[in-house]
Amino acid sequence: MNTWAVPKNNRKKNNSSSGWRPSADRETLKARVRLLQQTRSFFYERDVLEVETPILTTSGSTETHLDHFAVGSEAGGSNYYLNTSPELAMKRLLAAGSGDIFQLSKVFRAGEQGRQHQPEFTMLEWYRLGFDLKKLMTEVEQLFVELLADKLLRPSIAMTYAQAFEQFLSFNPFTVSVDKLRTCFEEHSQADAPLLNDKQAYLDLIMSHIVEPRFDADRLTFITQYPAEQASLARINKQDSRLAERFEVFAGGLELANGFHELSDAAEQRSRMLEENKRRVEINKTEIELDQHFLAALEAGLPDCSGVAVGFDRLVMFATGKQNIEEVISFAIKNSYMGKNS
Amino acid sequence: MASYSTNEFRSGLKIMIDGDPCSIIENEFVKPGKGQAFNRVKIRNLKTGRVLEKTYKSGESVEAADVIDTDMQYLYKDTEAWYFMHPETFEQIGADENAVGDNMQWLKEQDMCVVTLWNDVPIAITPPNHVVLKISETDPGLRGDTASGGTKPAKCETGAVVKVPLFLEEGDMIKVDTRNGEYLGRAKE
Repeated sequence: MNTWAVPKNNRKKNNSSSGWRPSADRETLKARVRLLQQTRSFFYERDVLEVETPILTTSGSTETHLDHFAVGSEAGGSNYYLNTSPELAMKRLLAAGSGDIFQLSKVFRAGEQGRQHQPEFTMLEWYRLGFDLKKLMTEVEQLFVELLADKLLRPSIAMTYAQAFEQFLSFNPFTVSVDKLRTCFEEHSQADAPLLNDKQAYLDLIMSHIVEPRFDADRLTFITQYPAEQASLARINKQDSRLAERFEVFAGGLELANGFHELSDAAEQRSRMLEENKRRVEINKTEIELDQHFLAALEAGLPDCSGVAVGFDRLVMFATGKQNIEEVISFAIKNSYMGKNS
Repeated sequence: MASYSTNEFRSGLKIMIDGDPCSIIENEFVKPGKGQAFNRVKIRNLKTGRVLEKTYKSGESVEAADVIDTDMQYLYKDTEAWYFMHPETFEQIGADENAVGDNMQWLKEQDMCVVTLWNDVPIAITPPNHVVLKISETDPGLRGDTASGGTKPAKCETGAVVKVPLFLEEGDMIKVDTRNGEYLGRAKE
């Protein structure tokens, strides 16, 4: 459905190219700004400060599975990155004493394009001082229920990463072998499993292809206690070092949010970044210079906090029932975008 | 050897899978927030026509298949092959039974077809969506019965058997949809 008014002299069929038209219809764009407004009100009511951090950054993210857009200038010379996430800059604000903060910002990830991905998308991210994961998950649920009320027909459920595998596949992801993961994929998809680098990648394969699509379509599913290897910037559980203090939220099978009890130990953070860089080099990606300002901020002291990042465009998708992210963005980058040529 | 990165995957791209040329029907990018990215593709094997799914690790390279679709005119057949001609270069090429397959029943001399070449050898023939064929064999027509809605089989000049209305007779020309074998209507000579 396209609800844009079409000028009369333009109504002929097959009239030249329609490529200039928005990829979202007008109703969806209206729904999108309503959701933006509601989101802002939600945080303003709770006295969470709205902030803006740079999109153009001097240092990138070491995260193994993220690719940056590197930006040069017309005149040549110094290189910048387009931000893949506002996380590090927001933590510098927290360390500087900002208090609770939220941000709605554009982020950029090279090579990510599909039904649920665009190389440029909108991220909602917020941090709460003194919140543990449980408290933050409660707040995430409050926000999502407010925004998505008419699509969420049943109350949210929570399960651990291990429980999700046990419920849908009857094995434990922490003890299962790579061979078993490969066979599991092949049985479910009737296709060869791709050759991957390590067990975590096979867990990603099973989680994204087999487990997530089985979540109930009409409710939120919270997944908690990710494997420590997938901790990223989350703390490790004090009682069980195999687990990370990390959760994700799905609406149906659509991944909406990722939250951490934030790691504040600068030394551990540095060693994780070095480890990620090592993995990047192993899989032929560029090594990223560590963000020294961020590490210095952690050394100065990050207050105890939890934070969460939400793919805002996907929230709009779920709220409006759109199946493709292109339909909720005014001018999406279309499939003609092919990245580098070989 | 030419190859494509999964970043370049899009529908219509021709790639090699297990030694066979395939065409991508659908490409889906799948990535868990913090994890490994994948490209899940639905592909058609161009030799067998079978549709299958395959998942690649994103960033992987896949060998390109040298496959091109060319418009060519069907000329004639002999005991070994069906012959097609390029309308501009007049170059002729023979396609064997594996390439022509069930579509042999729609091939009418002088019709333009799409010949799919893999490494310059025909692997598939696509006839026009609509062809006009002469009925060569059918039970006698029931004159005047143009409304009862019944059908009968009619064998066409190319060998195809099509369900047609009862009033049609041998020698009549009919228009047929080659994609589903359905009778579309009568045609003029």
